[in-house]
Amino acid sequence: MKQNGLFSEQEREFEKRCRRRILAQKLLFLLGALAVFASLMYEKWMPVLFLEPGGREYVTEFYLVLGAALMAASLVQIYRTRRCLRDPELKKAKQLAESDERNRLIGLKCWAVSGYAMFLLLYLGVLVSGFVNMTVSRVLLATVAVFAVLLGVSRLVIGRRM
Amino acid sequence: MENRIQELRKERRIRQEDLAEAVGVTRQTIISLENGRYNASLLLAHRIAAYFGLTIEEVFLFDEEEQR
Repeated sequence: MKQNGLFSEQEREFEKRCRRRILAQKLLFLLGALAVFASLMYEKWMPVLFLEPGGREYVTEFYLVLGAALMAASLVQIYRTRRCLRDPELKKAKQLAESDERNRLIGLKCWAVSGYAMFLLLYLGVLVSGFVNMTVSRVLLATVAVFAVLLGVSRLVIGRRM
Repeated sequence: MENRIQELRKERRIRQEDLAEAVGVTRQTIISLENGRYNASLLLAHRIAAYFGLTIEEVFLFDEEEQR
């Protein structure tokens, strides 16, 4: 971490991070808009396999709500990030809260605990779902497999970097 | 790990907020350090020691027996 002054992260780095965040939020907004568009237009040009009754209505409602929520959430985040960049006091407080090592460690531990718990729940789901629904069972199994691969790959990559 | 942060801070009449700002952490982190709930990283320990004009060993009390 670059140092400026007594002991502070460079302001420019934080600003760069904020601007990247705004860009990511704009992309999420577009994704949300795409989901809304797809929910309204899918019947015309997006074939979907329906194995259950009520599937068509589900697709419309699900992607409409998901898309709208993504758009709303990304707009709120863009507004908050821009406000932070404009207000020096807010920017300083946010920068401190993000760079604080204890906060970072808490964040990492939260992700780790959630990851472990999620993995366990997925595994339990795989064990139980086989007796309930084949499709659900396969989807959960695939999710567990992807999770395990991601875990292994990230361990390799991060292990080599550190 | 025990430390003398609170003792040194009070001696010099420094507020937790001021120390936090000087070393680049939140006030909550200083509180956690003083309560012994959180152990500072090497970088933070160095920053705090440098702020007080002392060595790391003079601020942070490492007890090898306790760590075992």
